[in-house]
Amino acid sequence: MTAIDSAVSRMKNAVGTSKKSTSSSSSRSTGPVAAVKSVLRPSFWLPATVLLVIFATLWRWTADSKPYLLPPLSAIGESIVNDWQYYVSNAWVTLQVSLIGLAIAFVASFLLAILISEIPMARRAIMPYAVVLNVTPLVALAPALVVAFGFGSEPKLIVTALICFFPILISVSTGLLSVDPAALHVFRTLKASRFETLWHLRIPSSLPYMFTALRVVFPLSIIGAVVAELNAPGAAEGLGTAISLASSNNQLSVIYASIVFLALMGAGLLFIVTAVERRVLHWHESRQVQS
Amino acid sequence: MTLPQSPDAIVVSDAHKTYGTDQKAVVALGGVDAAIQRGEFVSIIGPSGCGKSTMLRMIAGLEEVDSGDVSIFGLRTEDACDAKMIGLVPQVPALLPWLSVLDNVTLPSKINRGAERRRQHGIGGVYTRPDPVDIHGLLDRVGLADAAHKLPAQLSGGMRQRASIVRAFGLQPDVLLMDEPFSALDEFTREALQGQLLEIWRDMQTTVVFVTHNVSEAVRLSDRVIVMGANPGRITAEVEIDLPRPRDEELLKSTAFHDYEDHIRHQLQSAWRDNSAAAA
Ligand SMILES: Nc1ncnc2c1ncn2[C@@H]1O[C@H](COP(=O)(O)OP(=O)(O)OP(=O)(O)O)[C@@H](O)[C@H]1O
Ligand SMILES: [Mg+2]
Repeated sequence: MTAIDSAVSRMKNAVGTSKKSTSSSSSRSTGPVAAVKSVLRPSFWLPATVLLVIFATLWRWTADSKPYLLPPLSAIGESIVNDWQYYVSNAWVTLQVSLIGLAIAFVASFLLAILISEIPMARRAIMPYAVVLNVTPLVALAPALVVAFGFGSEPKLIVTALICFFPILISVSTGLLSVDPAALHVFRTLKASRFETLWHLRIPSSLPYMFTALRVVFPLSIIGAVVAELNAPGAAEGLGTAISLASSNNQLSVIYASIVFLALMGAGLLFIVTAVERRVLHWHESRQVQS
Repeated sequence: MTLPQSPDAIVVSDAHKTYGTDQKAVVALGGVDAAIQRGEFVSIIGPSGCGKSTMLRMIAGLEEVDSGDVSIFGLRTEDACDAKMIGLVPQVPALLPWLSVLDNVTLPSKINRGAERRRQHGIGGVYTRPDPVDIHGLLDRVGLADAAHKLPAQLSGGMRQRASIVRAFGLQPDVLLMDEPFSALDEFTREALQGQLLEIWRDMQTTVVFVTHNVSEAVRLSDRVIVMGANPGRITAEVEIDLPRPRDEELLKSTAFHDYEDHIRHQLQSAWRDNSAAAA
């Protein structure tokens, strides 16, 4: 009995120490080399690769048996390789629309969030509509805006800005109000001005909320830009326009190649946001680890 | 009873504060009178929910009283806050997690900058400031010199509380208000911090109002212990602690010390018994 007990405890100790050593070694070597090493491990890349192979097989099988449903993967690849300049220039146009629209939404919604967090009356007036509009699919406004503003870039910027506006507004205004009450007490006994409280306390407190919104809104901005382009094809460039044209010409592979570029853009933006977030919110993540 | 204002005391005069209305009304303060002299270290002790925090918040100007009056060295609390005369150490350290310890403890000096001038020239006879505090020296004294550039999340609970205290002392406040600052700490850390607090207090000659649940803590730290009872929140006893300072380990073991502890425990118990008799 005791022999077994001691054996078990020895095993536990062994497991404990080995765990400790691996965790400490991994935390010590967080450089790029370690990152590459961990990516190279089969347990990291194998599951996703297996799924990709299955997916590609299914795709190929569908494309072979029903060519009007899906183009062959090779045709998409060829289209990308042969016409990459076409895709890149259109992607650049779409990217500009989404980023400028997003920037407009960000500035406007941040200012409005400050207003409604500072003035309760403004909050009571605006918040109900913000909540309703946040769940309304505002992309449906695109056709109306095209009618109103024509085929220029205005309707695209407006749609993009509109769909990015409310998620940022709601998150940031929530963040501005979710301040540690004890810290707020300290500020009040110092007679901090409203601006000082906003600048030193409320805005930093809202940053985690802001980044949560940004992670949602960066991909949304691409959706906004593409939907607007789909509704105003022909006049300007952009991947939405490219898709719309290809659709009327039955060029399935061009549509899918455009989608590939859109996906890459979305992933790229998300990657950038996440990297910036990790930089800016290092204090926040470490707090989460602690609690 | 109404107490007269004094340029040398914090005066709470006939303070009433009720939360809620009708059946659910809680009388957090039912006519509290207290005078705390400049430089005095006063602890407030009492059962949970008797209104200790309410009283502290009231002195800090964070809570409107229903009736009665609070004055800080002859000034309204508002003006005292405006001159940054009040340092608050809340129950939780309330450090800003995105700032290093050093940035946290120097933050008060970046806020309400006009206050320094107001204090220097004295509103209503506020005494003029000595030289600015050596904040690095303060951090060093409480053992945070090496942690100055760390984030709060990288500190232990005791270190965070120390930083919170340094932040409050860094202002050189005329009044330091502390709401159970050590209640979340273990016995050893707590005693070490008490010692450090007393040392800094002795050097800076601040007036301290210290809320606590802990009888020995109250006896060790204070010149005077105010015992409160609940429902309505009121002062049931005041005990002068006539023990020599500095109060070191030896003193904590002395019979005089234990007598004070017993006396205050007794006061607390009778306050508690009165209260449960009233409730029954
Ligand atoms: N904001 C509030 N709203 C309603 N009731 C409150 C509020 N703050 C305090 N109270 C009530 O007032 C009474 C006194 O509260 P207070 O926090 O001052 O007690 P306390 O003596 O500090 O207690 P503890 O030792 O538990 O911290 C309690 O009964 C509490 O329920
Ligand atoms: Mg309390």
